[in-house]
Amino acid sequence: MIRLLAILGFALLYVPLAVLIIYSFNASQLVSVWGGWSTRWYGELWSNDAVLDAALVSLQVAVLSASIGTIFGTLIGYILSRFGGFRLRMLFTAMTTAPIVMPEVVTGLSLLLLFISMEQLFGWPQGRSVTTIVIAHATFGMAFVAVVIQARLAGFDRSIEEAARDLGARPVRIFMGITLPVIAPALISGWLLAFTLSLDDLVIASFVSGQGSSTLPMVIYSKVRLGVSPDVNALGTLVILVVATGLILGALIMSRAEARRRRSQDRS
Amino acid sequence: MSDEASAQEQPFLRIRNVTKVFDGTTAVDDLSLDIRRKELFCLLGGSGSGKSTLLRMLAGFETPTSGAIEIEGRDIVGTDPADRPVNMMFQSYALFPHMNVADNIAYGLKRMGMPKSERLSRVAEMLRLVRMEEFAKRKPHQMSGGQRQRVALARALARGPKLLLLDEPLSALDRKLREETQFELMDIFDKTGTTFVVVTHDQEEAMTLATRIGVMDKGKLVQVDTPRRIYEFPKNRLIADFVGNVNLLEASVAGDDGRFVRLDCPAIGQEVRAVCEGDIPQIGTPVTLAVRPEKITLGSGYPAIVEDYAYRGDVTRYRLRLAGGGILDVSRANRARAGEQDITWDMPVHFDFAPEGAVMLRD
Repeated sequence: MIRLLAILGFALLYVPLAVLIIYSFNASQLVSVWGGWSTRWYGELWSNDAVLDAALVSLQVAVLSASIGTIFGTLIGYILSRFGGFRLRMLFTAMTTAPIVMPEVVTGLSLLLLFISMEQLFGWPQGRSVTTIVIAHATFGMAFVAVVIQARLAGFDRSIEEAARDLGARPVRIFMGITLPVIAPALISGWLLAFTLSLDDLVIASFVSGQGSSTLPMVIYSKVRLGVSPDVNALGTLVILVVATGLILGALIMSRAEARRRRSQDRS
Repeated sequence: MSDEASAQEQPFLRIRNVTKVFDGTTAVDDLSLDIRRKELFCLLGGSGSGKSTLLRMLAGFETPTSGAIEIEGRDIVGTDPADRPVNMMFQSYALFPHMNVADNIAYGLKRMGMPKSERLSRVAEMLRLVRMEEFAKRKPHQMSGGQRQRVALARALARGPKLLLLDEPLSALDRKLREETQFELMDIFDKTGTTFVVVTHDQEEAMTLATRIGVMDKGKLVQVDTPRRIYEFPKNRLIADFVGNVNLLEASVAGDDGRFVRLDCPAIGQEVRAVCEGDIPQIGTPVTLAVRPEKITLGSGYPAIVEDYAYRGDVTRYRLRLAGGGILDVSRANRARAGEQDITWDMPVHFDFAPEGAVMLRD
């Protein structure tokens, strides 16, 4: 029974994706009519400048926002797990995770208002652009990275940091030379998570993007609104490919690091 | 007195009235202790006795609430762990998982700014000391617990600390390996000439390793003595019970025969004699008679009945019911290869012990 439910659940999740992938190889002009196998829509995508530009914007935004988010998220995660004593820690923890559960519409709207008022106050950021999307994506990417890092540090053997200090290292060197390398797998998987989330985002990007800074999901969405054309399927398939690669890579890195950690903590 | 002798008189490590309070609980309570140069000192105690807190204060990871810690007369309380002439071997070994063995050992040397050629030869020397030459390029997760333990030791010794702290150094090893490693550790101790302070909850480990043992309980040192004296002349019931096996029988002081104290022991039903450290208390004072099972002989003496016995290969343990109702454990070495057990259940026997083998405890 449970197995059946599990299969059903997975089917619900993945059958639509499978259908989309299959239809991306459809030779027919009409989306809902099967006309044999073909890769023509992929070729068509390649020659579509709007799509290529959007893909480039999306990649740029994803890489930049994931990197910024990872830096700040790591610092937040470190502080939350290490400096446990400070007042309002609970509030700070809740505030860190809030962007994860906040409706995207709210996040997007509030960021848009922030950017507008910032521009009025001191003229930066000028209009809506790639910069504003990067900042917006970095804020929620940061929240996810913070959670990942905090979880990793919760299982961290602090005596290795003490050992480094005992052997003559200063706090900054300990953080850079010992703590960071040891939690590097979590860092990478946090980065990949932020990267894929940024690639996926439509709502927030719609609020904070401007002229010439449409992301891939925005282009897909606008294409679909004009009627579903088969090349959207091809585009969707490519997005799935990138996102899935990122997620699987992240999971692999984490589980390998976990296995290694277990082994090195074995008693004999 | 020559200069050398007076230098040895001055304690190498002096802990003076150190107290450590965590959120209202006193972990270490006004503790003072002198440790001599080249001593292998064991802090022995159960969990919560404050022994680890004391060790962490020596390393510098905790700051005493009050009191002073001096090495060669210099107070180190305000000194960062990184700047103390002290290194520590951690219970979990705390090897850096992303570095190989050689890099682990070299870490502390790099922080000292030691030039590379010198560093390499020092690492090689350390690897030789712990007999891990072939493992220089291994990562921690590729080694067994015993090998990791040696690397941790080599890393802690690499900087040539004046004082080496070892936190439960052998607790993560299985029994057989632990015994082997004890002797290796002593060997390395002899070779390096460093002062060692070992924290352990394992009385056997403390007995084997230490030149002196400090038994800790509730943040205080209860007794500081050589292993032999701790075992033979424990100061109170706690220590007698903690170190080895012991029979503790209630008694009261009956008199003094010049060398020994005479005790009235209702459980045995007769007067017995025992060693009394210090002045003999007034007649009638309630005390405890402590006798180790192996100090008791079977044959003649006081009457008892065998309640139970357990054959353990090297020794046989007998549990006797005494005339006065108490229980007494006796252990007898199996010298001859006895085909059958000559003493068995419910058999009346007689036991005896030399007064030198029994101790009067004041609590």
